[in-house]
Amino acid sequence: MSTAVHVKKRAVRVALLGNPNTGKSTIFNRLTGLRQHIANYPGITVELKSGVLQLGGHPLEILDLPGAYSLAAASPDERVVMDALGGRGGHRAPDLIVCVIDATNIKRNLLLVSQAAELEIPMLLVLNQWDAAQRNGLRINTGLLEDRLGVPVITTVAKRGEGLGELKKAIERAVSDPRRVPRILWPDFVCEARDAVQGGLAEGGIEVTGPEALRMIFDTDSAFSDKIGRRENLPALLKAARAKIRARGMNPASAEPVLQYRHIEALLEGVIEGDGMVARTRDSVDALLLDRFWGTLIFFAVMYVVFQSLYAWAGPVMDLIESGTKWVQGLVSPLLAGTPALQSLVSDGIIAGVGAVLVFMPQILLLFFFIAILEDTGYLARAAFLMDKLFGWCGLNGKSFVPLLSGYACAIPGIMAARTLEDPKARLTTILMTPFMSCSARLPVYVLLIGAFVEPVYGPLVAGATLFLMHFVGAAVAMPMAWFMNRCLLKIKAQPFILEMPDYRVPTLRNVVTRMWERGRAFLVQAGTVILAISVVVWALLYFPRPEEVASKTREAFLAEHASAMSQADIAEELKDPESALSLKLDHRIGGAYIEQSYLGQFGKAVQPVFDPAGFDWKITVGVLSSFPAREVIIATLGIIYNLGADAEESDLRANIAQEKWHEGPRKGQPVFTLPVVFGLMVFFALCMQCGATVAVIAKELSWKWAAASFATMTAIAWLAAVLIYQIGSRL
Amino acid sequence: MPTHEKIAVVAAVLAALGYLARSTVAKYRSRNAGSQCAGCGCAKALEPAKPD
Repeated sequence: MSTAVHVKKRAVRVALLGNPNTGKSTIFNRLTGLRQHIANYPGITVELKSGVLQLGGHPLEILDLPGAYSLAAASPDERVVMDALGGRGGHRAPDLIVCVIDATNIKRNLLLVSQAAELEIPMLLVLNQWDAAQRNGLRINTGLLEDRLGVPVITTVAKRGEGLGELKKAIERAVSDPRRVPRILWPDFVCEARDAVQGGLAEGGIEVTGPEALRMIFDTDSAFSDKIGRRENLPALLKAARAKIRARGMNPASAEPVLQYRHIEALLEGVIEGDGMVARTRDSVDALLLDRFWGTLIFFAVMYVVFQSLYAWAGPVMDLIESGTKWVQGLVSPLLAGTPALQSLVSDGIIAGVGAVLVFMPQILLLFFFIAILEDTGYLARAAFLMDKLFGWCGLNGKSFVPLLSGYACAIPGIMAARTLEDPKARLTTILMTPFMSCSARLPVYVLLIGAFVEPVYGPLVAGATLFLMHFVGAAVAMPMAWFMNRCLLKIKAQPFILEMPDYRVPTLRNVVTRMWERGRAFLVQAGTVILAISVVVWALLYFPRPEEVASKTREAFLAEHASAMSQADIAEELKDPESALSLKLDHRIGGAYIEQSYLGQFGKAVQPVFDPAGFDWKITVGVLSSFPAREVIIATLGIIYNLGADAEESDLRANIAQEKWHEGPRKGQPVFTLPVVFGLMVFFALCMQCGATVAVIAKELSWKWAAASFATMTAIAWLAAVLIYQIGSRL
Repeated sequence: MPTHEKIAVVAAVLAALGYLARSTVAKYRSRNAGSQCAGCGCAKALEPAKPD
């Protein structure tokens, strides 16, 4: 399946334009057959997406633009819209604009339509969420709206695919019979101001269109002014033009919406009637969910239920996958009995490494099931608003909470979503804080350690609660850091937070299954590619060198150890049977001796002193170091280490790590994984930047300098936290 | 270790190293590094349109 599609240069280009969260991406997916991520909150699409729609045997290129409330182009994602519509930044201007409008809020959505009309590109209007408008008791006369605007108006319920057939036909008709929305008739003083700027720039050899000149006058931070660059006469021209508007008693900054809304009200007269009863019900539910006390209580209760279910429901399927892995190991291993190195590579390296990670697939699917449900119902938008109320003190811009909440699934879309922030300083803080949010890759690490050490002692309820709390560790560290950065270093001014509350909707099965499928597939691909490759390398580094004398020396020591309890004849007899307890014990002892002197064993022991203050032995150290490209790798590494050689005779990773003991040093004979070590390790993973893809995306969005600084700071904080937990915890 | 087994092991390790090197270079060279995201399946949502 392709995602970005090369299309012939002259194919008809159709742009989907609209306010955030009106369903553009759903329509895009339905038209093109692609699967762009969609959710019931604004700011999901921050870059252009293109796909192809075949109509009457001709390919049409469909562009999905980021949502924008106006063409003022203040934030980076709005500039993407302006460039695409204006044919700048390497783009060709579209041949047709399909304006997607939320049918429950036509008036506000028409501001963008009226602004886009200035570009004189043929247009077509889609009133999406038609069912919600009807539920809200709105009666919309689409025929009258069509007459007033002079372009076709189509009604759709995109999430159910209703009206899409009619939309395709309308697009086909609009391509052959293009129609334009009439431009607003600006009052004389606006026209004079516009002509003065246009004329003044033309004298300096710069040609701008009338709408571009207007954008420069109306917008204090205009994308057009940036494009033109610093011209000596531009500030003076704009100042004079704004003075003309001010002379008529209007504020130049607000003149455009005031005049546009007058125009829109005239267009909509008699078009919409309704009582808005449903909107009032929604408002009363919002009053509860957004209340500082009750809303917070409900938020934490919802999150607690999510993590508790995640922990409780996945168990049986995890056991099934674990049994499946052992079954495959048992099946494949005898086939390679003649070639011990290959047998070990396949059984102890590939199957044990990849299998250990695959065990956590059910949790990942469940997490994304809940995320899809929370997104689709519209609850996550409320959660973002609530977070703004709770954490406004740390100076984070209200808009930051959408990216930060996205970071709980994966930091990368969260970092990309920070493009919706206009203030570059606020965007910087948001990007740097997002990797602290507990992404889904941390989940397997938490579940492994909680399952092995917390649940057996404290029971499943405490285990679920621990999993719940671990997801707030990153945020607990990030918020004070954000406060320090915002208030002390960057001195960001507080900005009002305007977030459109989406309607409550029943989640669609299609959306939920798509989210689970996409994440599940990505997890499988990751396990089958990167983790498989790392497993092979880690296995080789743990298997070699393999001098014979290690086995013979270990064997001698083992026999000497057992000589006092058993006779030589009995020992020899028992060792004849390779499946006897003594034989298995000897095999494990030899395996342990081999990995101790392997390349990775020697390296781990050399580096271990760095992590010794946190109580990590060389095996944990190797696991931690191997997981810097991707967090899940620690599971594969530990799976291989404990399959190649461990004290315990178990093949279950959880049981193996629970029985692991120190082999040397002052803690010899004591368990390695004590509760302070376990919590230190979990907190290390909660705070450390162990994700190559996140480092790369920060470098792309900011710079390599910031990516390196973020990596170094997070790693240092993680190490420090792990050390503190171990040192304090082991003294209690 | 017999030669054929040695060859098989070395080939597997080289293939794994080659894959890791290739994917790392691709990740850091990509103008859209986010498309390499291994986290949540968001990769498709991050692929930008190709300009003309």
